Amino acid sequence: MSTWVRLSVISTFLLNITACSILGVRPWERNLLSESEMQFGTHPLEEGFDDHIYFSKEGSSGGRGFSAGGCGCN
Amino acid sequence: MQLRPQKRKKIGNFLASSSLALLCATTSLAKDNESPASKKNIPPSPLTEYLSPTTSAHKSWAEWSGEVGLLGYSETKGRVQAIEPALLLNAKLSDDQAWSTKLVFDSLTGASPNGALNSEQPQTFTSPSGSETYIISPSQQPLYNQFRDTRINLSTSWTAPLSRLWKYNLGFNGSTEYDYLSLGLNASLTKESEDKNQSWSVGLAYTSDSINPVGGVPTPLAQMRSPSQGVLRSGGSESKVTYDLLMGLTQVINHRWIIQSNVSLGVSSGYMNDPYKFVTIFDDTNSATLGNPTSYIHEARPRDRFKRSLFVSSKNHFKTGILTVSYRYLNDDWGLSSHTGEASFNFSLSHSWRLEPSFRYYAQSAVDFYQLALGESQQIPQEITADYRLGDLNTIAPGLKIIRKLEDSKELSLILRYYQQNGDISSFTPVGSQIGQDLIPKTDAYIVQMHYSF
Repeated sequence: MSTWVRLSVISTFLLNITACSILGVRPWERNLLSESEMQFGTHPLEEGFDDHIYFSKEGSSGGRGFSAGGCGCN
Repeated sequence: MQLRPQKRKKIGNFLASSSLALLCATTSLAKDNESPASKKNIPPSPLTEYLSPTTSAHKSWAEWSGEVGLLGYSETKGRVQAIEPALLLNAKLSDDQAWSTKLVFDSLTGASPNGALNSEQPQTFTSPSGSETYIISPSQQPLYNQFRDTRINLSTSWTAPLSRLWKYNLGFNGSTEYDYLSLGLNASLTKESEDKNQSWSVGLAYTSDSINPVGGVPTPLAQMRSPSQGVLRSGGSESKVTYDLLMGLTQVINHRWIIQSNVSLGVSSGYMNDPYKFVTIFDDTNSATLGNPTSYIHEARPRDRFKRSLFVSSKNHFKTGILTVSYRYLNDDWGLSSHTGEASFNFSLSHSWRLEPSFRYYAQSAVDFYQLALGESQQIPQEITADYRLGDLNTIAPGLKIIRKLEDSKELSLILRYYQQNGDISSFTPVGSQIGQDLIPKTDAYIVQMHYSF
């Protein structure tokens, strides 16, 4: 079984676990989750700078969002 | 090596038609919501209602926020230097509609590896324009030191609710530099669960790139020729098209823990060579000159690529701070597979100061057609590259972010990061004069970022 297939199976399993209704919080339990540091993608410029550097220096891109691209990046 | 091109074509067609369908669907649904009756029925924010501290309280036409950023990137040994200022503006309109625009200016100078191998002999190369030559001293990494470029990147996106739990996002991205133009569209749909603990999303992106190399497109696999002979060109410009599909889930685990998971597929078709990279052909038969370069050829990569990746990220709110960890696994039909791990810990020093040390590790295996150099007696394959970025390599990037919280949710931050890249040459056996040469010198870079969000 390839690594990709194994990871897909594991991720599907994890996604199913997380979909379980016992997870999650009530609205009044969100004070910590509402802090800006607990949000995903709240630093688009920082992530954009990082993605551009790694896209230019490595053979992989994307994953967090759409693949970076659109530059010669020699 | 190209694997199952027909299958890729089908995936490409599927992504193309799905992209169009999603764009049409979101536009049409958005239009439906423009009727006064449905507009009245749109309740306030899905996720931001609970998660965002900046829930719109005012009913003015727009609530503005934004960020200015500056990136300084400097590689050692006179290699690439970059300065990149950026501006981000967000306007939050009524009914949770939001518009965001990002403008980035990128200025690069310095020296870039041309793909050829170090040699104990001086080496003469023809410049990308084909009009002049440059000489590399013995045992020095072949770099083209006249590399300079400026790039302007504009991206904008529009987000609006479709219903109480659904919202859509439409985006445009354009980037232009001297030899490259990229235009892209993207669309995504997001659905939240009733209890706001889950958020599912699906997005499609289409990107069209035009490549206009300095002097024209060098003929793949053609030998490097002197300016007097004239560089062989296969044309003046080339193009590339990319489709990306991204599916994601964000899940609140408990009051201190939230995770995000994405699966993405990407299909590219068209010109994917680096027109400025060579592959060294070396003497592998004569003992007196064993290992010495005899000629250089222009690289040739496949014209199709299918990538897939899995990305998982987690945020844990501990009493001492917030731990963010992420992992990405990516592979493609070029034979490359990579693992990326990142971790950061954001903690408070005082009421207004925070620190965030971080660490990133990246490792990739080489593509099937990667060869550091090719012996003269060997047959030249249909596809070959010596670009170290497609070879076996690993990188580390430790960093530190210093954050100063200001009034009214404004923030000032400084990021310092060190980036080191190490190539692995274990798949290559040096011969003759190559023995003892630093065949893939490591890359060291220092990164500084400054941000002010308002």
